[in-house]
Amino acid sequence: MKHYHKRHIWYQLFISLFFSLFLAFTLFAYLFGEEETIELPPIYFLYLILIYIGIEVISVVYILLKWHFTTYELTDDAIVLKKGIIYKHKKTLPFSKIHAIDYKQNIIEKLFRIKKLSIDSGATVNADIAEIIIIEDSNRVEQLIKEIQLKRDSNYNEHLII
Amino acid sequence: MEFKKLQKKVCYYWIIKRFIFLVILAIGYVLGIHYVTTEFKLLVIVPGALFLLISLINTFIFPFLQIKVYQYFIDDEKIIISYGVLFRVPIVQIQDISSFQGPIQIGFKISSIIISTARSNVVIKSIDHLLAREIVEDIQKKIHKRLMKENKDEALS
Repeated sequence: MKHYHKRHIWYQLFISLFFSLFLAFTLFAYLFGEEETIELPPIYFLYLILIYIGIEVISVVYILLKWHFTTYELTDDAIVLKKGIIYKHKKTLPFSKIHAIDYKQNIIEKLFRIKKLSIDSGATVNADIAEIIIIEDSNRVEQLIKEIQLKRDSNYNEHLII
Repeated sequence: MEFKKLQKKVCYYWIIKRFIFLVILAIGYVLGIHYVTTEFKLLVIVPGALFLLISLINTFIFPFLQIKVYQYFIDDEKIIISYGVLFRVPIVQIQDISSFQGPIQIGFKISSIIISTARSNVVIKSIDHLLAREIVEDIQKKIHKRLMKENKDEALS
């Protein structure tokens, strides 16, 4: 089983940085208020710092664990994706049932040279669980698409030969 | 056609899962009674008590009935899941298969199988995790076999 590309962790941390700034601004906004209206004892400042550090540590640990517990594998006849820290989810998509393969890359992902490859099974009930998402290096994604197409074709040819 | 039943440990899993919900509900009920003003108390006590009673039945009685009714059947052509309602999924229509394990399920070594077709999702609820793995692999093989047969027929024709 393979993990997503390591740069995905940096990408996630970068995204979480924006939320950290927003959180910091929300928590410490009172510092920039007028002195007459907001006056909190200094111990509250310490509490806020502890809360802020706590949230940050939890989010970093969550990102690392999420990366660690998300793995994928291309077997002979299917793509297998395992994910979930507490709730474990294993998804198996046979090559013969692949409906569409496409990749997405936003501007920040471009900066980190990663691409999001989504493999759709065509199940329309719940779009989120209907597709397998693999986040890899830009070049590796191209390679993966070829690999998947090759395996899908060889599966089909195998049926015809037999 | 021989249907398979769920294991007894699944029943205990359902009880624990629902008991957690019941405890949360009971805490909410007690807090509600304690903090709501007297004129609204009756509005909280009666529906809340009814809801608690239903949850109590759902926690301690329903799982035993559910396990008696719940059964599934898998062969080369189809999967049938029956629990009062009958769900029939032809193997060819399966798009993908997932297995799912929550934290309590991990403790009981059971997992659920979600079978997705283009139209709907069918869940085989809580079976032994090794059996679940076997079933996923088996269904995968059956899809493969079925496709092989279909393509062979197509090529011959």
